[in-house]
Amino acid sequence: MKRLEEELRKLLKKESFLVDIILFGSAMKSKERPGDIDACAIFREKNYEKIENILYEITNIGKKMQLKLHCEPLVIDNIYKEPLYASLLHEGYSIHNRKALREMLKFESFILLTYSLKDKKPSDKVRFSYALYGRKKDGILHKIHGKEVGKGTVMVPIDKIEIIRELFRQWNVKCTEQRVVLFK
Amino acid sequence: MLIINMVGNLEEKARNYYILAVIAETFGMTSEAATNYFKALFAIDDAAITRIGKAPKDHTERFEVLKASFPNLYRITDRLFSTYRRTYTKDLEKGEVALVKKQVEEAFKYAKIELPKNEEIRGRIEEIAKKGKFSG
Repeated sequence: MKRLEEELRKLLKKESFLVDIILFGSAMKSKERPGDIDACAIFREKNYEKIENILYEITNIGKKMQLKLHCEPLVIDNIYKEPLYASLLHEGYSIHNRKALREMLKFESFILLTYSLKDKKPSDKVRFSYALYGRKKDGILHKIHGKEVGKGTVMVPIDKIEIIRELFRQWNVKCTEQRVVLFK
Repeated sequence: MLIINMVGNLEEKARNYYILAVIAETFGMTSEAATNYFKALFAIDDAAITRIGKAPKDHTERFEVLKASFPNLYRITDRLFSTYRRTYTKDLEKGEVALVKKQVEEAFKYAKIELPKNEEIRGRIEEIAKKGKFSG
């Protein structure tokens, strides 16, 4: 990932037409083996030929590193019309600034996770709760700096969400997710 | 004989997809235009590959054959592939479709397949209208 960042940074220096490249998606959320790496290239204006050339360069950087790098173009003028923009603010990492966008804008991004253990045996409910919360607040949730909001509801930092998703998958616990932002 | 027929069919398909794309573009249906330009490109690739007697079983193999035997077609297809993937979830803008069209036209040239002319496209529209296919 570090090497990829370096290569993309070189491209940013070379192409003034390119404002930034934002990495987002599962690779930025602590997924152990992310299949794909999602990126969004932000361009100054609608020059499709230039955009296509740069996107091709980005794809080739990924190819050389044997990474499945998918890059979406975004033109600055269209940024407010683009639903992806909200996700980028919530979870994106700026190559240009070497920081997550939320860090620059001084807010924290979480996923509010609501789950139910209704269909589980009492012993499984206890074991799952131990795994999630721990006996003395030493469960996974605390290790990743998550927060217990109420019964069956936790808040997980966006960059750690895949760890919790994996736990829920292992225990076959269904849940719903909602993006949350907390201003510092 | 069979291969010649297959190549002929693929070339015809490529030309038909191109015509459909131009018609869609004329009516401002950019998404349908893009889909058909891509279909035309893939038919061009397959026609070229079939001509040399190869039958790739998947996209990876198709790309390998193109890279080795038709570098110009490979360059165009490889460049456009991420744009094609983007059409799964998003509509392309008018300017992007125009760029796809330009590159597909280049692919016709490299594959030595005759690009449908405006008169032919107009002729096809008139032909369909005459047959009364739209009258129900």
